[in-house]
Amino acid sequence: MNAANTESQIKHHLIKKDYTSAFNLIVEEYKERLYWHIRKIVLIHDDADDVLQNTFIKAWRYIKDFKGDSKLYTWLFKIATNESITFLNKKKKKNEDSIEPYEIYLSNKLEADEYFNGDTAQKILQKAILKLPEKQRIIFNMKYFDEMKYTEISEILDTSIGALKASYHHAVKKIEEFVKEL
Amino acid sequence: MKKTFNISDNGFSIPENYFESISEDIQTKINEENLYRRFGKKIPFSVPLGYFNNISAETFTEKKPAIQLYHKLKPYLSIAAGIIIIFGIWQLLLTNIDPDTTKFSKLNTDTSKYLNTDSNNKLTLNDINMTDISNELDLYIDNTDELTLIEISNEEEVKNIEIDSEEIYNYLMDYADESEFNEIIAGL
Repeated sequence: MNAANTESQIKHHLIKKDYTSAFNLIVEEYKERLYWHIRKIVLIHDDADDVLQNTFIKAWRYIKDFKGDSKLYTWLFKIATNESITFLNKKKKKNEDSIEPYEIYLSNKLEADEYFNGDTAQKILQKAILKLPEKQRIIFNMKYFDEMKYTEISEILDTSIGALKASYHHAVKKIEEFVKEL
Repeated sequence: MKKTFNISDNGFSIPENYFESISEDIQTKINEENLYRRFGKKIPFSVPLGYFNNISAETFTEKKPAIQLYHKLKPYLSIAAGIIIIFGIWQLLLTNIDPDTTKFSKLNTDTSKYLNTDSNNKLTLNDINMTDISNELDLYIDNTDELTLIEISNEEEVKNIEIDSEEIYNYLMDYADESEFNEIIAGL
């Protein structure tokens, strides 16, 4: 079954108010895509697992309110992105008393993470991405790794295409500079 | 010179400001290509074995009752917490800010056995016996001389007290006015 078919099937369940069947399909269809989207933002597997759970719990709680004006895919990615940002902000707040910034802490933790299996070059790239401001980092991941279209990113992040292009341009430039320094 | 197309020429249109940002877009693409050649696009993360197989809709819908119960109770919990805080502050004010009130209430407890209200709801004194007074004085009077005076306030003992004239004279000089003084002297 392709993604378009699944999406129309989910919408069909929603119209019939069969929320349980709709939610079963949502989880099966989107669990991996949402996980990787979240993982690229929070980096650590355990954290990504927590955020994925929060995302689906929220999706289940508000599934009755989903109007179908936007794509289901956009709606879910929006929830996942917001949950990831909320999670990172909480972690940063907890880390306020620490001398090292949360990004440095994450960078160090990444090296020790048993579920990080990249080579040295990929480690360098991830460390460079971590130096970007939060929103620029999310835009870079969505464009560079997921190859999403600016129109899709625009819907998920509620940002104009012009602003996204500018943000991505700066992100790529900064990463090039970071990796040159290393 | 920039060349633009419009719908009237050939039916095509372009996004707003397309040509204004094209040089920046190309530059971004070049930098992106450089990154790709050096790092690739492989995501360097993995997950525990069978992780995605263990994720099912039931995992999240089972949590529903607890979440819904919390959300239903949330406004009531806030109100209850507010009432408790206000009650706590009120109690704190009563006990700490007005210490006299506390003392007074203690006094009321002690003296309640002497006080009564009559049929018109007016406050009256109950019968007070000598033992009660003695007990109260034992509690509040420290001065030995005063206690001695009270202890000898028995009529027989008073008769046996010997007071010389000089003591009487000194007392009268200290406390009596002139008319009283003359009256007492005349009596002697």
